[in-house]
Amino acid sequence: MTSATVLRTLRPLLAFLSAPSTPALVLSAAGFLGGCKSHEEATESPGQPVPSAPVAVAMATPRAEAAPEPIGRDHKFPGSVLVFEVGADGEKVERWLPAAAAEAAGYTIVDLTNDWTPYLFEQHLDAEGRQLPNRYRRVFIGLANDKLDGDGQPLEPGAKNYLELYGIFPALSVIRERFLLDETRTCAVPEDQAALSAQKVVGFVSPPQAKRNAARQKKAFLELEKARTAAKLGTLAELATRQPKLAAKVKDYERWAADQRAIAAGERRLICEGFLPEPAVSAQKKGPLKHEPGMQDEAMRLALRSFQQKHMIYDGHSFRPKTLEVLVKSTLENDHSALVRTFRERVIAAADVLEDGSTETKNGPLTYTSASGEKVPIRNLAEEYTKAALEQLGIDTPEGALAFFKRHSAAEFSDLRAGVKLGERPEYYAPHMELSIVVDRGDVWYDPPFDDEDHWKLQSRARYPSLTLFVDYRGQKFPLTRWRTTIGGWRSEQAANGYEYYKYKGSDVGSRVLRKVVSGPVWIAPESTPIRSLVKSKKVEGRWQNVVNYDELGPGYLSAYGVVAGYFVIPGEGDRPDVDRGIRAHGSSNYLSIYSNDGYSHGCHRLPNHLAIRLYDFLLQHRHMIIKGDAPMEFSRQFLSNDQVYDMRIPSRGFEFELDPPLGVTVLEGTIKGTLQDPVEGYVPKPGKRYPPPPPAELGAEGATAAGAVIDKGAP
Amino acid sequence: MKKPNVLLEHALGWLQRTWQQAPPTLRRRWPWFILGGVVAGFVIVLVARPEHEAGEAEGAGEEQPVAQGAAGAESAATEGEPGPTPSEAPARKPRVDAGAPLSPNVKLTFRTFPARRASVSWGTKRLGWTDRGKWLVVERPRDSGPLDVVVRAQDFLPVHARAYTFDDAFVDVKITPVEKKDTVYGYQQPLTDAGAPPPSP
Repeated sequence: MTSATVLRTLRPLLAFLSAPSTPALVLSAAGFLGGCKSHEEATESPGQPVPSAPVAVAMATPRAEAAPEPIGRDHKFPGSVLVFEVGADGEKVERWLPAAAAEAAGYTIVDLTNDWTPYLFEQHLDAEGRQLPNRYRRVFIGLANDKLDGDGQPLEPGAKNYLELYGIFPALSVIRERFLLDETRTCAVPEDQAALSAQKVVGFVSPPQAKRNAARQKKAFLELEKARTAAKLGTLAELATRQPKLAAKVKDYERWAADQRAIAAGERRLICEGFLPEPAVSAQKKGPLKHEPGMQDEAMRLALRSFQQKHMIYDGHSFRPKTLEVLVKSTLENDHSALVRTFRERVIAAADVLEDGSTETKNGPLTYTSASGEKVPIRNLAEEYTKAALEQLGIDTPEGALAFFKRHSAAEFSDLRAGVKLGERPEYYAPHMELSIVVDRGDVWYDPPFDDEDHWKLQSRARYPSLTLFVDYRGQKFPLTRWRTTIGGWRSEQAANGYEYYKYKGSDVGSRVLRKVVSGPVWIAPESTPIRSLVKSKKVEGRWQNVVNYDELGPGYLSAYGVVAGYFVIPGEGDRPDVDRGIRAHGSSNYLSIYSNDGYSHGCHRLPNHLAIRLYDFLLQHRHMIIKGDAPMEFSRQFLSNDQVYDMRIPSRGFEFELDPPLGVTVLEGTIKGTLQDPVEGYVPKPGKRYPPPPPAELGAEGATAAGAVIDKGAP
Repeated sequence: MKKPNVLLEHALGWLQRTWQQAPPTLRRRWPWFILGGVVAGFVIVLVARPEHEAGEAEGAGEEQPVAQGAAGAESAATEGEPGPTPSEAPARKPRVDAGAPLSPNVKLTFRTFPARRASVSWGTKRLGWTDRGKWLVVERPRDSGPLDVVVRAQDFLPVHARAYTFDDAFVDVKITPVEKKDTVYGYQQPLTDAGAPPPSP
């Protein structure tokens, strides 16, 4: 017998031995032969693999008929899942189950590890089982853990990434750190909370105007005090009642004073949370970072912006209503809100659901007819499941969450997973769902936003664009989500003569399909992109220098395409390729513009990054699709700015998935407002700008660059 | 030296007697019995192996982002298959071989076109010089983030370029003489007169 023959003989045996279920089968056999271990002992053995056969049975069994509740261990062991069981005294106790046993018992496993990513950024494999590297995965995880910056380089010591508004939620260990810090640092002073909650909004006043106002009000106060003393009254309110001619002045003063109290309280809160330096430190600063107490200066604006980003507040960077609401709360309450937000994304991903109540009307949720003929409301599964999961884990209150984080060390979050029992998903769920997207453009203006005399014109919209995901179930088409989005409008474009003009960038109307989804997409800026937006200043190895603005290009959360993009194309007939007119539905870092009256795009339909992630995660897991992997490319282009050449290099388009069959998309025309009923072609000079003659021809026709390279025609 | 020989003879004698007393099946098929013993030993080691070793190996894989562990990864082979039913908990796919590990560092080779003596700086650090017939080779940790460099050559416009660290790469930088800056895209032609009045849209 040659060694080769021996190896050939042994190969099937070795393959059998290396199969994941083999140890379990061997153990099962051992258990059967031995016959001395009870079921309970077998389940409790730490690290002991669970036989695969019962798991397979459980997976095919409805939740209601799940295997009997296993008894967990009281300490964590490798591969275990945290669940809560009701103890003898009726109190919830933490137990640890093998993952397979938890699944068999009907638990949905929520990944609480620090390395969690949405499905789009998971480590995928090709058909042969080889890893398909996603260039942005490492950065995504590093950003969530406050370890890396947007370029994937180490974050400066003490620096934090507040990126929820950009679709990247903090890792659980980051939130844990916040809880432990804020246990002793509540930052909630009752007088300050009263001052902040007394105001619905504090209007923005520039520092020079604020100083003039302060001088005026000081003078008014002296006059009012003089009048009050003369009238022998206790308060200014009494004065206003007794002397009506002074009422307006008293009201004006009191409004100003209330604003000042709120600003001062907000200032103290921002100092407490580390967003503003202490006054003594601030006084020594120079330039825009110098903060003057009571002033809504640049330092205050930046501090408020960081505060809003930390707490995922969609507000302008001043004391706006939502910001004031959060400033009033204690730090622990806000930490808990962050935990809920982060947890929601994890639960949605674990349960593979999308419905978030966004289709509800003022009359409540829409309904569909079930197989049994009943009218069933469309549930808000995101909230329902998140609430259930939080309650089951005992982290539905700030106190409960703090206790949870004290029980579990930071190191535990390297592999912590929790089992929660969620209600059944609706009956319309299936492995391959009949889904489709409808984009309604809402009110559309083709008129330029200025008149013949270069005066700006307000183009108000009563109906905003929306992106709705429909499911077709038993002959009914009903929406699962409906989100605000953007359509194209008047945008700046750079012409071949180096000058910027306006151009109408419309959103295509009609039937399309969504075939390609790219995670970590790269937007290849066409030559018509204004050069000023392609250069930024960045600290590189200890020196500030100008670089190509790769933030805008991607991959990254600031990319023009956000962290994920789906390509709308006209399907090619027969052997013809799809026609790509450059329209995408993608994430966006410009989170405020999506919800503003004048928020337009270059034709694409933008969504906040976290919603775009949810949408495409859902589509990819409920439609047949092919994982294509990284799409390498060799793109480079040079441009000139301030006598320096910038070399734009893009090594990859991103990580591609292909929906097969593609998803149907319909873009509705909407309501055309104004005079023009069709979009204007070509460049339109900007009001008040001087241009060299003659008017330039358009750039980037048919998506070709000057160098002849075919580029991505998409414009965000 | 005599004593060991005696012991050896005793041992061999014992082995011979034992062999002759062994059942005929064992004597005929002894290679299979040895093989069986080896396999049984292998199985015992496999079963007795602590589970956390697998977990540690997975964690170690995460340190190398390009060759990250496949734990939790979705297999492409299963994509077309039905997804989980409402009652199903998300199932993790089996791990697969990650292939040969990639080297921890990458080599970035800087060249200018046309080839000239040019400095390559990364922030405050000067990485080195390129020249005619001389390339600059820089080694960096794999996937450690990009290098934003500035390439400067006498009488040429400075060029801001980026080198990625995903893999070994040539960073070819085209440099343009100062007097030919009007050939670079983005050059803004100067206004020669008051400019055309903006036409109405």
